[in-house]
Amino acid sequence: MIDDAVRQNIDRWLDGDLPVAEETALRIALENDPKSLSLLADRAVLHGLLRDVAGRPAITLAWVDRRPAVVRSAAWVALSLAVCFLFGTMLVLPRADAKSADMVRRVLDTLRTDVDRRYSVRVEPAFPRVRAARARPQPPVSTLLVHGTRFVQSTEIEGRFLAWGRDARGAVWFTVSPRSVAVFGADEIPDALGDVCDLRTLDLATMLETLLRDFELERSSGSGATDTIIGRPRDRASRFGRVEISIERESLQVQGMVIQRRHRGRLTATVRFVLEETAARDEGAYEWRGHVDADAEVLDGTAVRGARRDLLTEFLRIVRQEPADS
Amino acid sequence: MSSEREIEIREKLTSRWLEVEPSVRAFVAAAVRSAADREDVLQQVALTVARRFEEYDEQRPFVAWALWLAKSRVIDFYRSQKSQRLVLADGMLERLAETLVQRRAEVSPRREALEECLEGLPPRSRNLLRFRYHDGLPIEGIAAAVHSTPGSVRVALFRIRETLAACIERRLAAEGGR
Repeated sequence: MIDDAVRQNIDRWLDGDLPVAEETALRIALENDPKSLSLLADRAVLHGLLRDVAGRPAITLAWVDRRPAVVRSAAWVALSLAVCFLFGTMLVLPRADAKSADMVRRVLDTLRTDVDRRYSVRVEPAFPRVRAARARPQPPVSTLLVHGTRFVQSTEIEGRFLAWGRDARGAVWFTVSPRSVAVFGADEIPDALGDVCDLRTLDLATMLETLLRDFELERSSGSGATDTIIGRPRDRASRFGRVEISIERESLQVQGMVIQRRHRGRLTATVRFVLEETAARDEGAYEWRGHVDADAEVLDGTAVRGARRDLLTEFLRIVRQEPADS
Repeated sequence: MSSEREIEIREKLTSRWLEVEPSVRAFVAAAVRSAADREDVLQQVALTVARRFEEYDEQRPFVAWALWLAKSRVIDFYRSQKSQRLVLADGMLERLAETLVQRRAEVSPRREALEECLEGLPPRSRNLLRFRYHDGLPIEGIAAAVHSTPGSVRVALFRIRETLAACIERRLAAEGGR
């Protein structure tokens, strides 16, 4: 029978919560008792499975990083480059419909990267059970202003005005009232906040490149002046499902996109982006200052311990439209 | 190399990696201290697996090969972090990898059993797990979110995991899985 203190220390170690002073005791226990090492292996597997079941993405070798370049670790960039180097050559449309791919390429060529785009965004959860529990006939629409990896998004949920965004330095901020704002530096963004940003924003150039590289494309006969390209991922493990792009034939302007999101092969949500405006905006549009009162409390890494986390918990609850007592 | 051959290799690599990733992740989690370092080391392992995939001998279990590479990356990591001491000595890492190779076939049944066992947990316990594993909150963050103390959260999470581990074992035993 393994001592309870050793069992607890194994859990604390896996939680990254074991004081350094306790590490020696744990090491001795693991060296002296094969059952302890076996328990460590079992618990490490359990922690990983809990992480999976709770909804985090696994690392896959075909993954396109969901976070902005500034927060990718050097190792991850190296991995992407190596995988692209190894396999990239045959990923460039070996089997895609040539006309569809050509159209997407032409859109990319004409895509102005120096402009800001404003979209309306609607996220529809895939699970009817979740939707019913939330008792909302229509998920709320948010407004997204985006320029590369910079974005600002705002919406009204439960009568509260929410705004969140990523600035030019890669910091992510959010607010649930004009009285306070939480700011996370590029290297300290929690996964849950990164997931919200990833799901609801659209870097058009990156998305089109992903379509060309990783999707089977086909052109559907569009209505009037618009063509529709349908993309289906080649890799079953992709975090994207079917992607539909509406392109104005004359101007090659992307008018809208419907993106299915998947996790471990299962559809989790459908996100609809509709272009509302293309215009040049000041860089300040992506900073939190314009979204809160002048004397608002700023919760950054120097804030009172736990205050920023509390605001994050509240923000995530509202964004996910969970009841207050859940 | 023909593009068909490259596609075949890529598909094989992706599929093999997805199969063993939980075991590799568990190995790295057991051997490396912080969550951020674990992610970095795991990415290094994935990179090494992709780079050296053509060296893989199909006569050997892929999980053993991937864990052998993972062991090297963990040792490299500790060498580069001179301030951090290797918590598991070389021989211990070897034994940990052997244990995970033996457990490999059980990972999928364990996941299925876990999903069923989670259904039986009270909402408060599920909430704590969500804060820990979905939101990625540290113990102190969870304590603040549920208006409790870090010590109480630690004990609660420990008990939840003990309950889940016992439930998984019971289900596997009932299905003759172990």
